[in-house]
This record gives sequence, structure tokens and C-alpha cells, in this order.
Amino acid sequence: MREEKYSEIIHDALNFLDDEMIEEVDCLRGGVSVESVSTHATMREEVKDFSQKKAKDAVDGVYKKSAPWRKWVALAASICLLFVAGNAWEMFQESAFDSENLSGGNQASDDRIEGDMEGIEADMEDINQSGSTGMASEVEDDMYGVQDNVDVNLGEQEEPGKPQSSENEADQEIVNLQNYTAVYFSEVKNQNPSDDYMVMLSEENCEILDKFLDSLQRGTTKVVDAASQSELMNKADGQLVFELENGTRFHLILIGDGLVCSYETQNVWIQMDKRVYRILMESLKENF
Amino acid sequence: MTDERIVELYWNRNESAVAETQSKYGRYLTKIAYNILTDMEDSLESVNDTYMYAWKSIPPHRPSVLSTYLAKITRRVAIDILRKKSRDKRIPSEYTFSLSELDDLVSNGRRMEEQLEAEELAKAMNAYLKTISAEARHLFVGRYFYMDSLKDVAKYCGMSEAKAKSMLYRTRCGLRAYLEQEGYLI
Repeated sequence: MREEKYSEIIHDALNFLDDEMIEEVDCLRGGVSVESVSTHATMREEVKDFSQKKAKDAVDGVYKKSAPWRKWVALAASICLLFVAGNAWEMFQESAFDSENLSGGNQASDDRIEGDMEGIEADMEDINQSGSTGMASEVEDDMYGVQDNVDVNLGEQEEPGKPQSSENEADQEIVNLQNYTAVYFSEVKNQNPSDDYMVMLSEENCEILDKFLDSLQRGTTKVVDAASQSELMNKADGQLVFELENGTRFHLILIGDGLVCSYETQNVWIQMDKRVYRILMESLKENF
Repeated sequence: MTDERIVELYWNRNESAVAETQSKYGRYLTKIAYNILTDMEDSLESVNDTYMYAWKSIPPHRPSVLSTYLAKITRRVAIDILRKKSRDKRIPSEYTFSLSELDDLVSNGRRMEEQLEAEELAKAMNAYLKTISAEARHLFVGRYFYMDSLKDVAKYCGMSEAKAKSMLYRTRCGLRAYLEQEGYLI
């Protein structure tokens, strides 16, 4: 067989190995003699296994390795590698996007965001101590930072044709997004987050986000732009700009495990648990 | 008797050179042959042929390390005897086992140049073996040049059989990659 011929050529080539290499091993071999050769009985066993293996290979037409455990080790290693790669991808996405293009929104909002970022961690502690709501504590677990006094222009341009909400009003509602166990949305309306940490989206906004996330799952929404970490949003991990089928664009500002979604000129603060975040990121990855 | 003195006997066409060679290296060469042939009679025959080839080749050769020179002759002779006797038949021996292991260096679907010179290939193999650790190199040479059993090789290299097997596998894979990189289409 051809493979055997090639192996024989390699064996012939081994006869031209450097003498020094052979001498090194010669010194090690020392007491190896004819008597230390495997007994014929042992050889017969080895031959039996060898012949059976070769017979099977002959039927299959290929030469296979005689260690089936290797494939299980390879499978386990592949799974571990996928897991590590998935986590690495998540970390990369969190750190690689730039929010420079964030300026598609309101510049005043951006400036205020920059000024407000310093109090974010302090606010987190306040939320802890106040124990405002169960949802707030759960959000705290997921959120990387909360913006204080962020002017998200919701009072001005929440949605086309929709009546403006008072900045002091807080609508609390839990929105179950399709296929997600629990997703909490909030609109930060220029309020102290400790008082209004979980201001929820209106129904219309939820529907929009429903469509957005659904379109991500289906692939009709595409990522049209991405930016790395911004100097303005020093706690922002990046931004992605999505475009729907109808041309509408979403700006997603990624901060830790939370998302700030800018719908056209709006800024909507979306807080998701890590599982939802992961699902969303996987969808984004497919489109990216 | 030292190697230099034995070689001098060959150069002087002193027939005691063969006797001295047999005295000093007889068992050593028989072991090499037996690893390949697993038959004592054939092994002794190949060792006798080795003495004959040594007598014919010294002079003009003047090997500095006689053991290695003779080992190469014995190995080649024994392999030729084995191939001749069992062209399409499997004879249980470390040679045939190592043959199957070296199949790792061959990939399906590729062609090896028919005019591949063994010496050219050996140059590449020498170059590769110099890049790996001494431990791995000793294993490789012990297994595929001397064709000692895995058990023996692991023992005199001071490691377990499992570790030796694993290290040999990695060495074969590395050699294959090196040969492909160097243009030896295998």
C-alpha cells in the first residue's frame, strides 16, 4: 500500500540520522539486550490486536489511530475552547466598542452624562442602602453603573406623536420580552436614580424594543456601525448602531451588563439581566 | 579493544577485526536486528551480513564511532530481509508496529514524490530533531531507529510508557508539520 511505502522511505531516511543523536541514545540504552525483548506470548497478543485493527482499517479503507479516547478528549477540549472563546468574545465586545459616535444623540445629554458619571457608583450604594425595590436590587446586581441626571430627551422626543411624560413620573411595569424570562426596562428621565431607579418604559417603547430584539433574532436588523470606548462616556464600553429594515436606526450604548438604547434622538436606559444580555449579544454577533 | 584499534585492524585487512567486532558488538547488533525481525536465526544472519559489509566498506571508510556505523548497517540489512520475506504479510515486530505509527506522517490524499531521496529527507529530519528537547529526541531515536519497544524506550529514558507514547505522538506531529513546511509533500 502506498502509505506503507512512504513509511518505509521514512525508515530508510532514519538510517541517515546524525551519529551524535544515535550515540546519545546508545549511552542510555546501555543494558538493553536481546533478553529484554518482549516474549513471544506478549508479541502474539500485540499482533492480534494489531491485526484486528488493521483488518478493520482495511474494511474502512483508511488507517485510523488506535486510541478512540482521543476523540473524547478532543471533544471536551473543543467544548472548553468554545466556552472560553464565548466569554472572551463577550469581554471583547464590552471593551472594544467606542462610544465616539454617540454624538448622534443630543449633545447636551452627552455633556450631562459626562458630568454625571462621577456619582454613579455612589448612587449604587444609595440604592443598596435604601433597599428601594426588589427589582432595583436585582438591577444593581446586573448594572455596571447608573447615570444620574441624564437628560435623555424623553420629555422632549420620547416618540413621535406621543404625549410627553413628566420628568417626575415613574411608570413601573415589568415587560416580558419574547423568549426572555424577565426583562426590566427603565427610562431615566433626568431624575435621581435612587428615587426612580426603575422607571419603566411605556408600552409603546416596549413594543419598539420588542421589534428591535426580535429583528435581531431574525437577522433583519443589521449592525451598521460600531465604535470603541469613548472618552465622553468613560464608563461606556462602546456603542453599536443598528438599522432596521425600514431604515430606523438604534444606537445602543453598552455599559457593563446594561444597555442604553437611543431610539433616534432618544436615550432609553435598558437594564437586562446577564442572560438576556448574553442572548442579545449573541444576536448582535450573528449580525455583526 | 577500542574502536580505533578495531578500525585499524580493518584497515590492515586483519581478519581478527571481525572477531573483535563480534566480541564487542555482537549482542548489541543482534538486539537491533531482533527488534526488526523477531527471529533469532534471521537476526544472526543479518548480523553476519553486517560484518561482511563492514569488512567491505572499511576501508575506505574510517568510522570514528564504530557502534553507530555498524548499527546503521545492521538496521538496513534487517529491514531489507524483513521486506523481502514479508512483502504483503504482517510479521509481528517492532518494525511493523513502528511502521504503523509512522503512518501519522502520511496524510491521505497527498502524494509523495517518487524520486524522494532518503538522504534528503534525513537532512530535514535531522534538522527537526535538533529543534526538539533531548528527551523527545531520545524517545524518537530509540523507538524508530533502534526500534526498541515502547516499554524499553520509556524505561531507559526515565519516564512512564504513557508519557513516552504521548511525547512520541507529539514529536511525530511536529515532524510532519515540519516536513510539510519544508516542501516534502507527504
